[in-house]
Amino acid sequence: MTDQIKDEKEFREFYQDYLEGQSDLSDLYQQSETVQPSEKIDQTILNAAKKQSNKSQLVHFPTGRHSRYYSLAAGIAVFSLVGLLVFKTWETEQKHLQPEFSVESTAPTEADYIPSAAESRLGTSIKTNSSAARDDLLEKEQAYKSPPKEEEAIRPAPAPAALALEYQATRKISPAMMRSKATALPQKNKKQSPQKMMDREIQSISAQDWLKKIQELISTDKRQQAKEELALFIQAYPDYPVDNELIKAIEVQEKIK
Amino acid sequence: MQTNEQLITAYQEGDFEAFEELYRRHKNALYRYFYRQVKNAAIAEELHQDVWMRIVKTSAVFNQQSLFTTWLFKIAHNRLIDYFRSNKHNTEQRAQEGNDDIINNLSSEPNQRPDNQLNEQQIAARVLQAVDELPEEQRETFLLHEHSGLSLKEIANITQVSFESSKSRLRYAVKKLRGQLRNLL
Repeated sequence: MTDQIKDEKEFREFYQDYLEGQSDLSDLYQQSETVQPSEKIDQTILNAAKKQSNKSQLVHFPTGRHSRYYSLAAGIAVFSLVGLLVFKTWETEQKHLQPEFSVESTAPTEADYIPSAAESRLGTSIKTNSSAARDDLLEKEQAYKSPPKEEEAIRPAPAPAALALEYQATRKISPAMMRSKATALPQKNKKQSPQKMMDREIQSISAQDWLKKIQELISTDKRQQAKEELALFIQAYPDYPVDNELIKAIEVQEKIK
Repeated sequence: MQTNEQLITAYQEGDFEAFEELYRRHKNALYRYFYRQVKNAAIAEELHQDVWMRIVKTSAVFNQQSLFTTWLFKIAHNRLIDYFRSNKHNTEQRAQEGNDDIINNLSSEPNQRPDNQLNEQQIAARVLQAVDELPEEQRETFLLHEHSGLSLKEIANITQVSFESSKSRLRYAVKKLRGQLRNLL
């Protein structure tokens, strides 16, 4: 038992010396091990290394700390290129999927029902008094009524309401005729307008009948009433094409008054 | 004197002489590491050549932050593992052949002769035989410690074991060798 403890203690010292490189074990082993690779192998390896070194002299890839920046730059370039390619592909696909919209487009938009807006878009004057304009209006009316074709299902959303407001502004329609609820009607009508609209819906008065009624009011010189009705009409049917003649008639009456 | 890392960097930049110096420094250590484990000169040379070829081909990707010796012996360790896996059946037979070569070179069994009568060659044979008799893992740890000059932490990294395992393997190896070679130390 004592010998074992003594032996263990001796070994600890020996091992400590070995780790510190002061043991004879390392020397003994290093002296004993004399094998080495053949000259032929040495030559083969060195020749291969020389060949590779000549190659690397021809094409020197940047190494060291700068290689990170080169890699980063290359990465960004590749990323941008791929991004551009993807975008271009997407753009081309979109062009194939969706017909291009232009002023020549046959599908009517909200702006097309508003003469002045259409006028400003087209850059041409619309002859409101001519029969051609009437035909055009009738055509658009038909288009409004008829259900959209399958092809037209992907047409863009109707022109923004801003266009309608712009139209009203250019027409100098009184605030009562504005579509916005905030500016729409005089105080007395403000309360009854939603109810009126509801009633009209219940009674199923068609837009055409409503316009006829407004026409009648104009012809019976009930300008104020016609004006209010028109404002309500625009509110109820913001997309419905209103004959310019009708609006003009109200304006003329207003001027005469 | 340039460090190993400076030499490999110089070689990356096309300096062949830097590689020659690097090879001269480490060729024997690497070859002996292989030879002592496969115990066959032809196989040791084959493995030795494979490792250096890999160094030549992949020198451009050498990480400047690590030690060249760690890199070299890590490649060597992996190559040896591959070799053992693919030649499991032949390894033991070749090892015996290798041992026979050593023993045949001796006039008689070294253990049977008194130590004071042993010549240098016989002492060397006894030392190498003691190393050969170590268990595989202990032997590799001992050889890496002797030939690479790396710390136990780096040896653990190369052999992919914990520091404690590496420390324990070396301790057992040294203890066994001391026991075997007590009369020579």
